[in-house]
Amino acid sequence: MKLFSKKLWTACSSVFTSAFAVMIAGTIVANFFYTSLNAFFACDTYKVVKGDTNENTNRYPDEWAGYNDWFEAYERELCEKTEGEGAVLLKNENNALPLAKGNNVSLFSHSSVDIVYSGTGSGSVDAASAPNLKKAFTDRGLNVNEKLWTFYNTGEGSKYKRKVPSLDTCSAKGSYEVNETPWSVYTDEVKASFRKFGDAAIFVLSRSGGEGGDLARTNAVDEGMNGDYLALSAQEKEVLAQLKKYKDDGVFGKIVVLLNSSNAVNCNFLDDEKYGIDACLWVGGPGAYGTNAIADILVGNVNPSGRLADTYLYNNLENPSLVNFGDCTYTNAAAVGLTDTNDTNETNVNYVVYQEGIYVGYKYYETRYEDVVMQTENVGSFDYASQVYRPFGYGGSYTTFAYSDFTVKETSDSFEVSVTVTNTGSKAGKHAVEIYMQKPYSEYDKEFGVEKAAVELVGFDKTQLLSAGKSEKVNVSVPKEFMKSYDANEAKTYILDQGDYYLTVGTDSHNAIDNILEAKGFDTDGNAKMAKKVATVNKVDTKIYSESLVTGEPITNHFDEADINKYDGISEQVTYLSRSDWEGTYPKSTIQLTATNQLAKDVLDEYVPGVGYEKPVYGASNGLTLAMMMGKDYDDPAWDDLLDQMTFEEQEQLVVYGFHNTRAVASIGKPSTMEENGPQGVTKSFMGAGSAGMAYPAETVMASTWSKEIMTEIGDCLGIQALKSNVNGIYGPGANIHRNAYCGRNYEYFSEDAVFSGLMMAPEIRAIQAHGVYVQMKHFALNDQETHRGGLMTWANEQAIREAYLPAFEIGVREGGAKGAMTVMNRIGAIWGGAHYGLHTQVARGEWGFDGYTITDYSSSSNFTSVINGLSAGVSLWDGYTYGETNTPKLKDLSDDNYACQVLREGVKRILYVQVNSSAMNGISATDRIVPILTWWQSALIAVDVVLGVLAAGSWVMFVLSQKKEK
Amino acid sequence: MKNKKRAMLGVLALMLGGTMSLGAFASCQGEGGSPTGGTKEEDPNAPHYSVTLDPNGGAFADGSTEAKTISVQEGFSIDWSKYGLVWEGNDHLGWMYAENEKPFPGARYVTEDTTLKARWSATEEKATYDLTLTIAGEELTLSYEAGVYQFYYTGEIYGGYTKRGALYTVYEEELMANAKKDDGSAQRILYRAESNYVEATGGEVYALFYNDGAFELFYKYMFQGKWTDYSMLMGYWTNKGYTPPYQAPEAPQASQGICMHEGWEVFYTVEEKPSEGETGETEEKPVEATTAEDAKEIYTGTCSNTDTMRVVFFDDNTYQIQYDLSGQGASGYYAVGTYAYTKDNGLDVGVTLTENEDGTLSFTVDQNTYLVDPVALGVQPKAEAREIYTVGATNSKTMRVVFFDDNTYQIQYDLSGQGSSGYYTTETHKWSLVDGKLDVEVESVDKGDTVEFTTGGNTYAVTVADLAAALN
Repeated sequence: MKLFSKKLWTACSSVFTSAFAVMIAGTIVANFFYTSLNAFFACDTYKVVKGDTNENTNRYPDEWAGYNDWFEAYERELCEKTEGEGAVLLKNENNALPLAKGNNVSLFSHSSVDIVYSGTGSGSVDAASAPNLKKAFTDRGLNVNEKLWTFYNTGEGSKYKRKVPSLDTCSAKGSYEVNETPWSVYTDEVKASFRKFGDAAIFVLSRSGGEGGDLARTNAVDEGMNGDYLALSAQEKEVLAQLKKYKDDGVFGKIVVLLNSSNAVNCNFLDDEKYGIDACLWVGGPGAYGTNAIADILVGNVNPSGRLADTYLYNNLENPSLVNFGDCTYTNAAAVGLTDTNDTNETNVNYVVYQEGIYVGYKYYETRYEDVVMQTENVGSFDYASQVYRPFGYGGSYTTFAYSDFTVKETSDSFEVSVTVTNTGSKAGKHAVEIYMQKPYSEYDKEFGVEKAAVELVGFDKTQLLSAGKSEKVNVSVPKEFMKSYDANEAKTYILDQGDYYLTVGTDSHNAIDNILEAKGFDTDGNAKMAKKVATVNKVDTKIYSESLVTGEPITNHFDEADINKYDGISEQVTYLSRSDWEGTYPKSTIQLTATNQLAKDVLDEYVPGVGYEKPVYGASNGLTLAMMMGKDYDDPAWDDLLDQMTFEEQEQLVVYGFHNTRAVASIGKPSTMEENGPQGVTKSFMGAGSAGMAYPAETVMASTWSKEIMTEIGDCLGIQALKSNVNGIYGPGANIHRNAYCGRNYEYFSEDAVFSGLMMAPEIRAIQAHGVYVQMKHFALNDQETHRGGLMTWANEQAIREAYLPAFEIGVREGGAKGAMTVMNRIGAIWGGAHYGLHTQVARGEWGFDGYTITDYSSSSNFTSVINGLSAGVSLWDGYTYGETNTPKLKDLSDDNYACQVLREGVKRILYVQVNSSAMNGISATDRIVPILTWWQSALIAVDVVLGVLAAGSWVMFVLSQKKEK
Repeated sequence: MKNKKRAMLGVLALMLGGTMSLGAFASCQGEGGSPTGGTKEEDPNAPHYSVTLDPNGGAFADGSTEAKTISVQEGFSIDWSKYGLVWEGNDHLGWMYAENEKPFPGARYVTEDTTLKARWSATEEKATYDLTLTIAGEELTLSYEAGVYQFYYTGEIYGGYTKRGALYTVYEEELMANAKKDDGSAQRILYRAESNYVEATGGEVYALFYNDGAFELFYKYMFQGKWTDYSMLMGYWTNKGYTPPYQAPEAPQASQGICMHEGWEVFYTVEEKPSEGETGETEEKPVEATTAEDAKEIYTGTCSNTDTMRVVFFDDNTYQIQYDLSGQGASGYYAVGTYAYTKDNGLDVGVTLTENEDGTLSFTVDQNTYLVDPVALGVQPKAEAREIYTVGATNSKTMRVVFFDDNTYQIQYDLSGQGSSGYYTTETHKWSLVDGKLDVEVESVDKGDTVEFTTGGNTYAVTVADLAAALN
């Protein structure tokens, strides 16, 4: 009988044994990638065994459940509304806009058929449903030149395509290229079509940006840009010049430019006679339905009310931060042993110096302008009018507004400002009221190096739609706390400076300073009636703001080691930009730094265990479940009993393997959670999240609405979408600062002004979190460029850090109640930002009262995202699926280290405290048990392993038996 | 003997039983729980609120166009199925508060007396076209114009870590002409649709249409030193009047990464791709070769932008670009490509070499840059032009000018800021030095010790004495 053939069983035993071995190896590998595979297959990793209860556990219900089509329609309208209120009318000569319905228009540039909806990288959104400009314009009653459209879309012009860099983990390779269709390609037939569609030539100027790659300042590859990606390319210039000729010949009635870029372009061409541009509308990244709103504005269905969230310059290179941005390398890196240049894992040779200090965006231009007007010493040559095209806060309208009755009422802790806004034009419109403060620049400041901007935005609000002739009284409450300044050198805390304090309502930052100058007796275009001296302080007060108003914690320096002038690791000293000597301190060239051995030692960020710590309890049977902790204080003693139930391994795995999820924990009945990207909308997830949510306009457009109401609505929808997508947390909003126009990720951040960013973000956070969906504000903090972001050493002085960068996050915590943040990949000084104790523990928790948890940015491929050092600093979760190759011990090997165990326990508690009060607990009551289960793929692998094992073993037995038989 | 046979049959039975258990084991799994909250019942004694529903131009199912006022128990949501609305030519999009026109979520509990207005929008007609594309059972929205279809799709890459959204363009005539030419042979690619997504490094997104009625979306990118066509997903296509001659044996599955139709034949003539625009950049390719079996390794160079790649030179004038397999759980190296080189008159590796400041040479293959020590490799000096003078731009950290002894100079851009190394030559010009006067072809200003000139927006100050000295 063949069944007993030796040959058969020799073959069988070897085949099955090999297969068994391969499967066992495969099973081990698969389990190593447990987190990723679960994410990929969207597996259930636990089941809920119900206790005996009828409690309604749907704590965060999706109020749109069952009405998804209604919700989609709402989101679509909201997307349109955001763009409609966010687009900024930069120029409108002779009322070129709005166009009349029925106008015949020609859309120019290859980008007109291929606009930039958002940016690239993790925040990029799905624009599948986005109507293109032709459809949007046609739907709104404009007749679009089809011949020209087809030429760009599918004809000869379609061979020219915008190019973007290719993102690989941390860094993007290659450059952004415009590659605009050259005029020489335009056929006579196309040119002949212009006359019939000549009411307006609409030129779309697009620029892309994204994760991992900044925009080129000196090495852009397109011709004619002089290396500057935010300048016009030779092809764009030629097309614009040709349009002017056609306009001169009477072919085109007017020329309108749409600025489709979240990064401010160089505006010098907009008033250049060569191009004869009549109107310009900044539209940013319009998201999925923003094109409809653009069309609505062009035809006058919507009156634009957006205002700039950044200063728009004629030439972006004229920015004090520009020489210290991008690619800087220590002159002697290799000599001191700094040799990591791998942008994917880490660099430890690159740095950036925030030499301009607090003078970011308008705070530089308006301050130096004031000093020119006041003829301050050493103001140097500075011509505001030739540098600033449109100030921060500027925005045009189809109507006009006037202010009256500007009043300020003082209370114990605020100034209650009110002003009446009247629509003095003929069209209905909305208007944003901007309140600015001036703090004194005193002798004390000059002596101790405290800097002061001439104006700072301290509050704002927006009117309802005002019909022609109608008025609205707008009230804005300005906390007195905005009067404080940070003195990092003498008092080493916040001070209330000596001198006069002004408040003003300005149509933009420039109008604001003009009003104040008028009030101070200088002759400008401002209106003294719109500014008020609200306080005079006779003597510097170093006590009043030296303790946190939230926690009572004393406030002192925590970033000395990020200030080159106070740190031994750098040989040079830096001269920060100072109002006391504009001419002498303006950054003219890149600061070349020399590293010392101290720096080389400090970047290693060696692990130093704390002493005197006791070993926590593990594996206790206290009978608690996580659900029992709902609503309990962070300090409730029951937390200790709960944490005692967990094993070291459970805690370690919860913290380390947090890539877009957190794991279920059996011992305490913790369910697993999911988190997704989302500044512009909840993105589609391979983590098992459902479909992607609405792609809203870029954060820059959201900011330009100056509408907290819209931010609340967007937050509300993001929260609902997260519930629909089974997502418990959102990696967003983004709150880094537009230090200049070249950061690739500006589209994911609000503004150049940190207070404004925070005030726009806070209502969004509140609304998201009202649905039990926690946020992770990113990237906390000081990640304001993409070049070398994995390891870049960021050097800045403490006043700049606290006044120009942190307030966005601070307001997110204090006003928004943010329950989460995401760290940076770069370093703050020599220390990875995720291991900065000062930032995460002393400032965020100590001063702001932050009681959420902080996750790292993507951590798996990095060799600096040390888990133990991050935990020590107060960070709780790692956005990875495996340990990075850091030079500190791996957490899993520190189970005998009492200090490591205690900081791990603290990190775990932070995560649990947020998640227990979130939508993660929907459906779970205190008496339920969470039981981890084998996922289907684990079960399948085990089953196959078992079967192959049986077959292999059986074959061997048969082989032996068959051999015996033959004998 | 009998016992042995019995034993063997017993073992066989055990093996069979073990195998059978697979199904049983698997079937026990996957009982996820999905608890529900408590249930509520109507209670006439509980508080009720009145909700006024204004059809706002539409009509209720009973034909009435007047507002209705209904009573809803506290803690209950409105049963909308009772209040269906119609308005010819419009879509009902839910309800909003009459007071401020904020939307009213469909499942919201009623907590106070409220007036709601219906929300409407004009119905958009969905166009039908000859071409249909279906992904995971859902038909994609196409736009059509003058024989050209377009569709937007966001595919996931790297297992979903990030995305590539792109607008694909299908020229119907070309697709159908190819389909017509197809004789029905198995496994043919009928058409390639380009998209608007293009990376400056050469990556791109495109779609392939097959003759089994499937299409597949690809992202082409560099992986482990090789161009890889990553399949983002697969769907079906149909076109009116067209039946795929070759039917796939099974329905194509949505794929992740792996091309579902690996090796299928392109039989139609591929039109030349549009030129790279004005830049005219074409990727340099070294000359392929084969390393002899007995060839000896004489030198190994590193890759400056990734630790996993290296270059190995052999004594038979071939070199290999190799990929380190240790990261893949294996050991050793995989030769990604083998090429020819010579080193008798300077090193020639078939692509442009850059001489670095430290004397090493670097060259780029498939966007990875390799470093070679010419001394260690035993390169014989080249009799050609040599660099004699270099100076950085006065207004840029990344630009420099390099003068050669053959009276040419190059404007070069430092690639280190691009995550690469070496220099990229942006311009080449001639120079001459006659009677101490430097001529650089472009306008220049004699500043005494230095001559300054500006090209490409960057200014260079050449110390003439140093240049003259270097020439000698």
